[in-house]
Amino acid sequence: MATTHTDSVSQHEPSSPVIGPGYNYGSITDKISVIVLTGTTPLSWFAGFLIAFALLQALQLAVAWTVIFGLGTWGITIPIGWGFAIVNFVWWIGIGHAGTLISAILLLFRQQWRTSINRFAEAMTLFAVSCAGIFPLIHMGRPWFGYWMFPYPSVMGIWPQTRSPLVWDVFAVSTYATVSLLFWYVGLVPDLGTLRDRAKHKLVRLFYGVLALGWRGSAQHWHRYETAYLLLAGLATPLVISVHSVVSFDFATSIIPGWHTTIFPPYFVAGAIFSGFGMVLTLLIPLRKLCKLEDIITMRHVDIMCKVTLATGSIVGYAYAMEFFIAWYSGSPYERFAFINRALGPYWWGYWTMITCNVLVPQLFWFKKVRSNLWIVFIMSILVNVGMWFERFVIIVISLHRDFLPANWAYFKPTWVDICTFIGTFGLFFTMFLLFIRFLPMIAISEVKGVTPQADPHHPLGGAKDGGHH
Amino acid sequence: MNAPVKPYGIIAEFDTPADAMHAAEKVRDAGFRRWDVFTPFPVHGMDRAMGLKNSKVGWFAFIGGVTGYTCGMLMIWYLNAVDYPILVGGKPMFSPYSAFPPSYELTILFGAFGSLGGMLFLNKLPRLHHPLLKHRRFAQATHDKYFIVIETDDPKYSETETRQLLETAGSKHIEMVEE
Amino acid sequence: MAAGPHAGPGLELQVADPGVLFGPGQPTHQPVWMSHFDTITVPPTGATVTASTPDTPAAAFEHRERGVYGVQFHPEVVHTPHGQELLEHFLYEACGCRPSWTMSSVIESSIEAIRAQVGTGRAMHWIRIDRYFTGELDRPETVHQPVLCMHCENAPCEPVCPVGATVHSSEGLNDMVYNRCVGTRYCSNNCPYKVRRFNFLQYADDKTPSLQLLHNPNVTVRSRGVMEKCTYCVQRISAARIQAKKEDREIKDGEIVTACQAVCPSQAIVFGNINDPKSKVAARKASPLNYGLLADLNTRPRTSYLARLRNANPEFEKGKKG
Repeated sequence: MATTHTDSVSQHEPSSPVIGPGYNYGSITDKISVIVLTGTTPLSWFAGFLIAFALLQALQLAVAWTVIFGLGTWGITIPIGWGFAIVNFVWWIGIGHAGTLISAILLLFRQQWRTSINRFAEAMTLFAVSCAGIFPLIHMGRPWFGYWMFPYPSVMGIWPQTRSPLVWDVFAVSTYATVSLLFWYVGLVPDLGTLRDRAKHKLVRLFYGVLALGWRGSAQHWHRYETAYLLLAGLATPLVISVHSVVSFDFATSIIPGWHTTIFPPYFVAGAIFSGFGMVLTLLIPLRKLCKLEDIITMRHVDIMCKVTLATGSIVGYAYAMEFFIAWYSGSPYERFAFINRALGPYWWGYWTMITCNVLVPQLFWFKKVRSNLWIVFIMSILVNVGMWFERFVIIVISLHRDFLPANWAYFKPTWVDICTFIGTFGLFFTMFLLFIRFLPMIAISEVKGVTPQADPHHPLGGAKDGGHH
Repeated sequence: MNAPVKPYGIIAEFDTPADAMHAAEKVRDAGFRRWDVFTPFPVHGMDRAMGLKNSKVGWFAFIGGVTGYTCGMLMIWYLNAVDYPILVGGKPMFSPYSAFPPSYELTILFGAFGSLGGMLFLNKLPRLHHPLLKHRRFAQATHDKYFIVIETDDPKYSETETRQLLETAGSKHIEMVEE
Repeated sequence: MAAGPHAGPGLELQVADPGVLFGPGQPTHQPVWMSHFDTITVPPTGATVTASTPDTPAAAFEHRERGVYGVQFHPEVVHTPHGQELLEHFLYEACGCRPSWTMSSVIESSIEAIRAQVGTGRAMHWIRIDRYFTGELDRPETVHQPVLCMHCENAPCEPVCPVGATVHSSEGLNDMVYNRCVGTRYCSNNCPYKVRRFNFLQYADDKTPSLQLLHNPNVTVRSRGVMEKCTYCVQRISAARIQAKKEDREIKDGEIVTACQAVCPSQAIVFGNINDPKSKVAARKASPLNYGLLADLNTRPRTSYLARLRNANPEFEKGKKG
């Protein structure tokens, strides 16, 4: 395969390559599938899995404790009826949105660089949604009746109350989890076929074969497959926007100052993409090093993602300023107080952490030097998510702890159960993620191959004789 | 001993997507009906080269979406305004605004089911057993080679002429596929 | 049983068997005070007689398997010098108690238990008195307001409940349906008055059989994870309605008296039918002093207040500064 570039082909090259030089798509298959089909698992994987699994046990302990002994073991109280659980719920769902954006929205915008990262970003979405989904269940006082929120015909003859944003949440998050899973699975099917065809061991071949549904690479199948994939992307895009909007409705439709604001849907969606990209960077930077995928997940990917983080972080910063302005402009003493209390009240440290991490830190991404320094990018990506966690904390806890009547004001302090549950969800997330990178191709093999110049029939590297388009 | 089984088809291997595409054009122009191209990823322009019509997956998705929206609205109207109407916060018994978010989500959910289900249905997948999957060299189709397979059941199939067609189209390796 | 001896001190008790009540170390002959005029001559079947007097053959008996102990004298008086020890033996050996409780203990432990929950905002009262202080720190003026569920017409708590556990009755009450509540606490978050109380833990003991008899049969015992609040004494409303139906008449004004109204010493609370223009509550609501708490939120609260007018004597103000 020719890998040198001539002048006539320079018009086909992007400003920096999607994947590194020296690759044909054959070697891409090799490089990615070897991680999955290898007989020996690297020690570092086991080390990571051990830690993740231990944290998962902490989650199970905390959840069992909560269900057996009651919500009194948490720090919540009246008036702060929602604490860590809902903060964590919104945080994890928000993180998931970046995966769908990378998969779906960037597909619709024909951004070819997405192919190196979309598979594990979608996986990250699924695992983040799983972690998020725990909280609406366990934060209920009587979680064993949680199924009452679903519209099934019950012997009581009563139905869920569909004006409630929590019921909307049920629909939105279920749809999001299902569609993300379907979208991810559809993308996986051709790669599962690849793994099936390269697996040496009969049981391994059976495992991937069943999941691959008998995929043969038929062009007729690809034809419909591409349509379905595009349709799913086209459906997932408004889904992503609607899901976090519906989650924001949990707050926006209430009357509490600090919650009752129409800016929440776009503000939450921007914030979700912001935190999600932060998490993708946090995962991507060590992953490409450990699995030696630097040529497929390149510095260009990191660069673009830093820019998206900067853009969405700026939107979030703008939203903060707007909220503050509108609260003042409204003249409502409750609104004005709510915002002053955020900055100067007993939780001022949470507010200023949020401002620093979400508004100031991403601005460093204007500088190319910063975007190219992987250590700084890694630390900044973590700070982004710290800041976004505090944003939800500020919105939920600070708005609740001091609302209309001063007689109701109180202080929220988390308990060990709150903290253990939160840290435990990292265990669930990383357990699933490590299993994923071990047993499934973490990069979309067929998609990456499909965007190499060698795959283009109108490109000389793809065999075109006349060096131009049809 | 058993009588010899008719082979499933003839399989021609190509190294580049351009070669496979030009060969497909030739096969299409020759009037074959029961044939297919196999590639490791979708090749741009292959649909036209094969003469494929627009896929019907979109219809499945559309119907799914419409069903979802209608079901959502109807369901909520029935549950909260007809079957067991209860006064709640001074709000109307049915409001299209508050019914919209769940209906919208159901639109997308059923649309997604339609897309995926339609695609699998039209592709006749899952199909875990296929003569091509047993063929030794075919495993490269998911790796880095391109194949054209013409079934022996095709009315225009002829052992010598079809092979000649594929050779002139540029295939370096032609075999028969067992049933 | 037989007619017994007269009461008196110094009756000589002869301890035949120390048993549990007497224990080792007790003198076998000791004075006791008796004051009964009937006497049990034969102890219950299976019981052992442990002590006797000349006139009372079964002065003390024990049935250890059944845990039944009986004495026919007074161990608690000074005239029974060893009675205190007998009582100690009964409590510690027979009943298994430990000497760890004092009168102050119950107060301390109750206060601690309540503080642990209330201190974190988990008090369970359905009506509370909010107090605010204005003015100088050493001479503050107090204003107070009893706050209970406002039973809002546009209740913010109702549309946010996902399972419809809080809905509006056609009589205008905000109904809390305990057995439907799954405990998401969205209703409490959305209540601007924060009158809703949540059972964070299993506060009510609904398992102990004797305590089950204690609970008011007209008010559901709420389990863990369920939201509760003032119901306008819906059980009293129901009782009045049932009575009126039985007697085939309308409910009279003043027939329903809520608990808070009944207990208020200054009759500051009035309850009734606001649709009845002749009712007391309608008259009060017609007053220009009538206002709803946080009414500008458009919750349309049914519980409304009459504003307190203050017209302090200027001499008082001067005196304050002095």
